[in-house]
Amino acid sequence: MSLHATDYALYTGCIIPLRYPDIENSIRETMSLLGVNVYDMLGAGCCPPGGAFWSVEEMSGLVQSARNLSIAESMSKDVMAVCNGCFCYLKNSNMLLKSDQEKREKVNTVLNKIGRKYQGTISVYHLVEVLHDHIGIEKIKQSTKIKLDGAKAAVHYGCHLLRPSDHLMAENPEKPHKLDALVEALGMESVYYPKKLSCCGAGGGMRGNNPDVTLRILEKKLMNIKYSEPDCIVTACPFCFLQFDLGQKGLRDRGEDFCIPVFYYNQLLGLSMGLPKKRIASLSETPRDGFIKKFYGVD
Amino acid sequence: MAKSHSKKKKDINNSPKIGVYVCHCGTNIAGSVNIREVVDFSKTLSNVSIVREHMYLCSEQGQNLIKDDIKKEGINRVVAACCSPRTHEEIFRKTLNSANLNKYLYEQVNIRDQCSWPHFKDKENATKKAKHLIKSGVYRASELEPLEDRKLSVLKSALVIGGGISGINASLDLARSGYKVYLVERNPSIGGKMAQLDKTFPTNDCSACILAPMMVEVSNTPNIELLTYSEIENVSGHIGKYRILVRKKQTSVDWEKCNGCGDCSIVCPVKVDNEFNCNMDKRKAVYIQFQQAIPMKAVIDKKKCIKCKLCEKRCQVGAIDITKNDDEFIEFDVGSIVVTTGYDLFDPNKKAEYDYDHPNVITSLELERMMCASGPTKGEILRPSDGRKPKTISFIQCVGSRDEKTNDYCSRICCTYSIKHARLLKEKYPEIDIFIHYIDLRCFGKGYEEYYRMAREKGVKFIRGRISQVDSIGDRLEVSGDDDTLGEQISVVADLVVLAVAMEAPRGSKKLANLLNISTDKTGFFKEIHPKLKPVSTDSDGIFIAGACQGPKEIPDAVGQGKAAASAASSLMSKGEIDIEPLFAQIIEDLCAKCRTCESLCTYKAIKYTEDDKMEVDIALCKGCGVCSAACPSGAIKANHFTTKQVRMQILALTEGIK
Repeated sequence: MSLHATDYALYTGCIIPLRYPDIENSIRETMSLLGVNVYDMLGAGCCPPGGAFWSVEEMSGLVQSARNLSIAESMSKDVMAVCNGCFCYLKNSNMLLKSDQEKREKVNTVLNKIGRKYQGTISVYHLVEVLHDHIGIEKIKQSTKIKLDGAKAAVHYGCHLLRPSDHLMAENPEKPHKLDALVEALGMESVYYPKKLSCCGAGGGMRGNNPDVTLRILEKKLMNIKYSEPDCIVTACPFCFLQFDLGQKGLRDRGEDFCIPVFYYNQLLGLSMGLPKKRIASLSETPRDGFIKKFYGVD
Repeated sequence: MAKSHSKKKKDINNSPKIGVYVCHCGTNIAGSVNIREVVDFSKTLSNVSIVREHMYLCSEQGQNLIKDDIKKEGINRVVAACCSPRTHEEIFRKTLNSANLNKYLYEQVNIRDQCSWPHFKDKENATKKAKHLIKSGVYRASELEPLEDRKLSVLKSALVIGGGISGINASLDLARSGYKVYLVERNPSIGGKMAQLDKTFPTNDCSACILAPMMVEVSNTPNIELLTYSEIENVSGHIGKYRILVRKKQTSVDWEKCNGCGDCSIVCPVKVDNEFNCNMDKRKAVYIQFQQAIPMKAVIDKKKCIKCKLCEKRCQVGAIDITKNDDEFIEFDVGSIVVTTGYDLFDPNKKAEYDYDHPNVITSLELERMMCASGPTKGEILRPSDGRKPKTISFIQCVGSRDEKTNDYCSRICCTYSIKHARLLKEKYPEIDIFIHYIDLRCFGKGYEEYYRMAREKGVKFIRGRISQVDSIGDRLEVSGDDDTLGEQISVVADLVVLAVAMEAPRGSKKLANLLNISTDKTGFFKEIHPKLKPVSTDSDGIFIAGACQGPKEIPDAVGQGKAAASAASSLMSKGEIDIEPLFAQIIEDLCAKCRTCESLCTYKAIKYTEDDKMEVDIALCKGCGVCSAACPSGAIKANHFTTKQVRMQILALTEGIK
């Protein structure tokens, strides 16, 4: 269990503050209504992701992660990551550095130059774990005012919430259930669709480097999702969110329109709590006003 | 100091005269150890009077060298610098024996396994290490004492645990050789997993037809006492005389009276999942396990019975009394034990990606029961979800085998049994499309390759590559993965998916291993002493293992091992007595204060405090590990053949000259 189940150092990552201030608002405001305090990690840098550092030079990746972790250590708070990539690499580094003394010493030699030290005193959690394990389904149910009865959601976990599974251990990697449970707490039905755990196509440097491949993977994924005719897609990763939302626009430009609204989990949670759409769910390329109007009755 | 030490026990007749024999082992030793140097060095050691070298010391010529020196040169201690005592100590001890020298005046120094082999790149240090090891052996040899083997009487009866095909063969062979056999089986009937099979590869024999006659023979053999629906409760004693306590579970049916008519099952109103048919249909709370059951007797499932007494009223021979609740306990003694507890199947729920929850994803054993005329579908292949005939069937191989996340070993039988299923299905329903997704096909047995080729000829499609996922699409299943040969991702839409689940060590094998004091390997299967030369022996003398409880195996191997274990057990029991090595602890009574420290430390429960105020070592139980000797505060326990003096001399040899 965490250090303090109601206090977390919020690691926002890059995509949310850069592109989706509404998602950031949704996280801060819903957490506050659930009685959880999130604190900013002043001076935090890139997590950094595997494609950018780890696959080229492990030590540089570790040092950068350790620097971020040391900021949370000085706050004496566990880290709450709100992006799958950040979660994966911060937790992976934390596990590696806690167990491997040699690596820890090497990392600290570098950190020493900027007056920091990694000690291994905190844990890293994903937002989904905090909501499901620490806050609990019951409390979330009680916090909502509007029930989404009859709405069908296609839940997308995203690769790095689950894998590499022996390090992350957030869920059973072949049969995860926590995000489904969170979605169902809002009154929605989490529908089955084929290849639910397959990739959205964004990660691994794919979206940046190979727009054609990334859209083909997304197309397959969306066709599987469409099979169950959901009202929306729900994810708890901003990069997956971006891929589904912006990617659908890319496919639309090629003449293929799936038109499935996409939400970051806390956006739906916030709307169910009665928070205004303008603050927490205003930015998207794939229209979702129809969904919000239909199920929340607001324009 | 070594010299002065040996001078102390100066005895003209017994003053050590050591022969050192250095073996080349072809190039195994001579390739990295300088034999010449080692021989010259050995000559300088005290008490050594002869040093010889030989290309293969264990050959007849090599052994004769030693014999001649004992007879003609008066050698009275032998040090062989060669390979491992595990394989060769017994051989050279016999050499000493045949030259009339006490066989315990022999010391073997292993300069191969831990010297020449690992240090093959460093000849200089390998030679140096060999010299050290020989020096230590020579020092110890100076202190060796002659010891005499003890005789132990052996009962001419055996316990066989588990009534599968391996246990049946072991029991029949032992009984035919004239030994009394107790065959204990946990289920109501013997037959094991083979009784659940429809056909057997590679000849497609009907499994029941070849197994049932053997089962009948077991029940007709007077020497075999069949204890089914029973479990081993306790094992005590030692080789030659084990005391066995068996719990006979309460059936509430008097088997003396029961004639196996099955009327009780007909009237029983309680329906329960039928384990024999992999829970695909129902049996009653009072039931006979299957049609060919031996013994053909009814059992009441006490957990499910509602005590309506309908069966009691219906039974025409008055065999049922449902008020009987207590288990019976039976105790008997045996000379040896054969363990044939078989295997259990891997739980496919552990591979969540294959969606075993889906009704149309089944295991191979479930398919086997479906294919059997006496199975839940009377031999028809139907989709469990809707009872319709499948158009496409996909077999996924290695489910729980060759997989680092579950079991890393190969289960050996799955390739061939899936091919069997595919062939039999193709023969019966040529219109069904059949895919087998495999990593490697391992059809290694006699006739198996031809069996595989015929499946290809019949149109079974073999696709090499791991399957990553099974998804339901409408009322069908999508099997996705890759095709290694084409280097492409593939997906097959099937109506029925069959998982070739791994063989695993039987649940409860650890508990039984503790009871019998035998070892298991990291996968939970029982461990043999030597994988090649002693495949059915365990580290407890007198206890043998056979069949799939030792590791995954097909029927011919399980039968072969059952017979091998019977042969090993009968050669142990045939003389009625055996020699045991005198390597046990000895209490020096004058020094013993009866503090009983040793008693509390002995893993083998070999030391006991007796009524006449003595500590007694049970030499049949003692393994000579020396824990008691090391722990005794008064130094009152001598570990034969590993005395303090002997060990001290070895340490001295290795540390002399080191500052």
